[in-house]
Amino acid sequence: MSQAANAQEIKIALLDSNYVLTNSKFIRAAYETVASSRASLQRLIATAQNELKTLEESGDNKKLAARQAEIQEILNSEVVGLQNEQIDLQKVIKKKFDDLMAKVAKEKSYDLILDKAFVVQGGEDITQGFFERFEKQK
Amino acid sequence: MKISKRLINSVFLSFAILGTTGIANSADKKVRVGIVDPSKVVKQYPLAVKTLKDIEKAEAILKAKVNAKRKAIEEARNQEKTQTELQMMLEQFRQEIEPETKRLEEDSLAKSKQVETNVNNAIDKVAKDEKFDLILLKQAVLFGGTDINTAVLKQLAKVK
Repeated sequence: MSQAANAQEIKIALLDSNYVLTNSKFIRAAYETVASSRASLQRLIATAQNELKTLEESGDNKKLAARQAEIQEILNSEVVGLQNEQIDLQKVIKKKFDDLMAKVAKEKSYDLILDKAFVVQGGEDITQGFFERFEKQK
Repeated sequence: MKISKRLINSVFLSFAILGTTGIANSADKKVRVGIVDPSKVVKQYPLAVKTLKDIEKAEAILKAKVNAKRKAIEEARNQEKTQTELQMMLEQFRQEIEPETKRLEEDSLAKSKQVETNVNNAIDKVAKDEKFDLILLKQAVLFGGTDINTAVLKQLAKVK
């Protein structure tokens, strides 16, 4: 018997992860929340800069140094908060993505789901169906 | 592009397609697929880490040498040396730096090739020993397969 005949079939699906990630309304909305937090932080920085400039012009160096330290602390905390928000969001997206993938693989008995970007020929493209389910998920 | 960056890129790119051990399972056997992340392996492979550090160190030394030469030429220019003298300095600079740059590039390439060969051999060995039919790059696989990074690193640790 030939090797090909001996070989057990392996069920492979292809998913265009880039399509899902760039077209998902869920992901876009989630990143808009982060963008809004980033804009708030930028406004805070602008306000702080104005305040420090006024203090600098007043010549009160002691007050300026104290306020600079206070503002730096506030900004550091805000930046960390924003970074954490982004990390948490990425975790949520990844979990949602991975959970659905595992579910689809189980339902359709796929042995492998490959990223479409790496496959030239073969496999079953599941991108559209996956995308629709991804968007419907809570 | 910095030599070290180019070097690592070349190592990573060379893993774009990984071989198989030939799908020759009998009908009752399940096809075994291994998943490897070469960038992760290389980051944890002591020889690769040392190679990268050595290259970065050599690059920094060469860069310092180039900067010192440039400064010397600039000073000569400020001292209003003649055009001929300046040209001679530049030529001397070129003759000194060019062979060193070439040597560094060749050395970096040879070292990275050694890392690449070792990693590829380790992947092959793991694939054969653990009877994987197919080894795929981690970045290509969204679901399925068995992660063999740890096994590859263990195999690399055995290589002298």
